[in-house]
Amino acid sequence: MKIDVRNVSKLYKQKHALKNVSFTIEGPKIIGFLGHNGAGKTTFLNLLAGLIPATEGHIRINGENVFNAPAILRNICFVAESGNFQEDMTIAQCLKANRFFYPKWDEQLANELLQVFALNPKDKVRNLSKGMVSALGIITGFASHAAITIFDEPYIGLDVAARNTFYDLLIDQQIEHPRLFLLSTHLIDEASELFEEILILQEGELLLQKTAEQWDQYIVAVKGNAQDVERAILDLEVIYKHIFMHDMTAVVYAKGRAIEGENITLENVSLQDLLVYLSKQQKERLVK
Amino acid sequence: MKTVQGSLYVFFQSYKKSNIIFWCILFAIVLLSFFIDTFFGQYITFAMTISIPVYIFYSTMGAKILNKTLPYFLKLGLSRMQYVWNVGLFFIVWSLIGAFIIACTHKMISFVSNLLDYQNMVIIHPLFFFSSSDSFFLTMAIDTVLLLLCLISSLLLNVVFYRFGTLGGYSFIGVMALIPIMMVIFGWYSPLLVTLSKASTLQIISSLLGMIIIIYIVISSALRKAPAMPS
Repeated sequence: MKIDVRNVSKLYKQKHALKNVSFTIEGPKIIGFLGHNGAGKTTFLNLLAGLIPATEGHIRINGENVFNAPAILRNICFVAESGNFQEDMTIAQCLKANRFFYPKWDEQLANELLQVFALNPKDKVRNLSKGMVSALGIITGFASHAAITIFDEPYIGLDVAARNTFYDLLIDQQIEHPRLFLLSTHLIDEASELFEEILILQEGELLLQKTAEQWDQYIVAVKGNAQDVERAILDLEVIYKHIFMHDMTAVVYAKGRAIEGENITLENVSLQDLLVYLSKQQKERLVK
Repeated sequence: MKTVQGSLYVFFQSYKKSNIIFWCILFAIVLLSFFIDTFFGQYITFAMTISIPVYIFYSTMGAKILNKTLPYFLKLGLSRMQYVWNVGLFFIVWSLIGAFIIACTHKMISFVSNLLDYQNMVIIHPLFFFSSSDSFFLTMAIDTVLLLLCLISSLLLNVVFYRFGTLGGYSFIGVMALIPIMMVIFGWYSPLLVTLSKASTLQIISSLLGMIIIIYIVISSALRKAPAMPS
């Protein structure tokens, strides 16, 4: 499956949720779709699932426009943060309904996962806890076997053990039935090891798109004496700078370039730390 | 075809409980009426209507359906047009079922009234405005069309609120409320009533069906690019 996003913008009344976003992703792969609150992640995922029309641009899957295209949409399973099920239906009825809409629906897997997450098929969605609804969403996502499976904050209310079960299932499913998984989450440290490719949105724009291998060469933390660090990062775009006594830590876009200098050390930046730095950078910009 | 089956399954499951509760209450009222009639029938005359509460109930059902089901079905991969067709199909089936229950209830009430010799129990039905016949099929036909009209008109209202927000929705209600006022001011109601009284049941059913089709075309075009979240 190839997702081609070209010049996509989305305007909500006066607010630009997405600004001229373009990229291509191709699966099977596990993709981390990241960004801080209000970055435009959910808006993009809604566009990709055909839930809202784009103000400008287009999203094509295997060359076909996704909006109002049932032939394409039946290959997408979108598990959103909420509103995935009808509240008056039982778990068993929800899973039965999914059978009609997902052509590759795996009934056996759905039943197995019901036991894994200890859900009672006779319970009504209305009476489920937040975690149980999330578990039902996860079951739907995996059992759909949809070529593009989107999880937008799939584990709200789930405890650590259940989240780990989700990560294990994600890996198992990717081995057994490879597909394009798009995972948007705020628990980045937990999930970062799973991502084969990372897309980061910031203020409605695509900040970067890198594979896991490219990541460590692209963003680097330079540490050392403040003057030495300043010299070493002279031509580089700085994301975040922090000075403590005479020492400085600078997080920069190395973009594969070798950073050389005396008395400096280079360290990798975790995804979670990068998002914290980006958020600080955004706040500083707003204060200015 | 599978998505049509699936949509009907979801609609039926989602509305099953509220319908069961509604019909239980309605039948309980009918039973209560019989009970009261047994004791006080000699002093009072009962006028009973089954269809009007059903029209009101169906209107409330139609007025909420979009917010309740459109986001869900779009997430399941239906296009907006598929959704519109499936809702239409569900409305037809649901109206037929409703009309069938109404017609059966009328027959049952008449049967029980005759059996127990209740002379003072009157059933009111819109059909009696156009025809003196109370045939099962005619009652069912007029109820099917009226229930469908209730469902579709309230869906139109839901669409207006969904697409244009609270302000747009209430403005629409305001404009609609102007129509009867204008009819009174300009005296349009008298020729309308004359035409209605002269028209045959078949003509009335066909004109109601025509109205339903026109409203549905408006709904379809309004939902062509509707987002999964209301405005």
